[in-house]
Amino acid sequence: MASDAGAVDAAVMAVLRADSALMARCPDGVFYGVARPGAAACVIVDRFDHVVHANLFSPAGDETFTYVVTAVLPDTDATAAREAALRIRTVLDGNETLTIAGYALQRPVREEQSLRWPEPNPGNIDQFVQHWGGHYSLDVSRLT
Amino acid sequence: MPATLRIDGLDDELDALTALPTTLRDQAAPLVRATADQAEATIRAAYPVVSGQLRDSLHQEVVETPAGIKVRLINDAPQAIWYEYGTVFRHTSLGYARGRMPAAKVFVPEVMRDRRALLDDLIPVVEAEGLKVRGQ
Repeated sequence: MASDAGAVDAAVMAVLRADSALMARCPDGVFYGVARPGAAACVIVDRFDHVVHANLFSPAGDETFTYVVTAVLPDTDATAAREAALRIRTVLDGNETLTIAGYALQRPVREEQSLRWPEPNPGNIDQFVQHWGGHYSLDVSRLT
Repeated sequence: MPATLRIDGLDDELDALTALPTTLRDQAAPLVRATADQAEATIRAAYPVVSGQLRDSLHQEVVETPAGIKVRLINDAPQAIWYEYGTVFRHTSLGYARGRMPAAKVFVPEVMRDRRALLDDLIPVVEAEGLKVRGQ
């Protein structure tokens, strides 16, 4: 079976879920794109870019995936979100052991830039959410 | 008898080397500006227009130094970040669900695509001055 880009998504989410320190801070889990209804303290992973580079030997010599990975925590105080974001960085930035079905990691995962924004709810002043994380890029090559 | 070695033309080489950053900047500037304009136009066209604030808040900030040029594409509308990255599920104070806004992924992917294209365009400019580009 040809390599499946979804395997990269799954690998990123799996490595985040496997980190007990991160899950202690974001106990509702790790979600792709959108959290399940009711999830309050969680991590959101979303793929923002995927580019395939050709080389002399293959039309898909290597590929770069860029994800936005953020801790989402309900609070007016951003301390917990900051701690969770630092944990995300610890897990992902420089990770050179990420196992991806059908792909080989070519370089350590790198943080491209950090992200932080608060989200007030205009319809409910008691609902305030902190988003904190970053853009993370992976360079991989297909094994099949 | 003392020996003397005289090399002519080094002053010209040194002058050319000193001017190289400025020369490269001048050659790169139109490419950088065109890329920023392209990204801005594409993003502007992709934004929905409700009040118009999201689209109208998109602008460029240009920083030019003797050795380089930088164009930053900025959207300083408060809702720009929510539109780009999405929002959480929201509820009214009475508990009624108001749903969420999915990530639109308009600004970031476009800028990444255009930045890659710019890099490809800049390599010949640098190589034309005799420099080698590797590992891009």
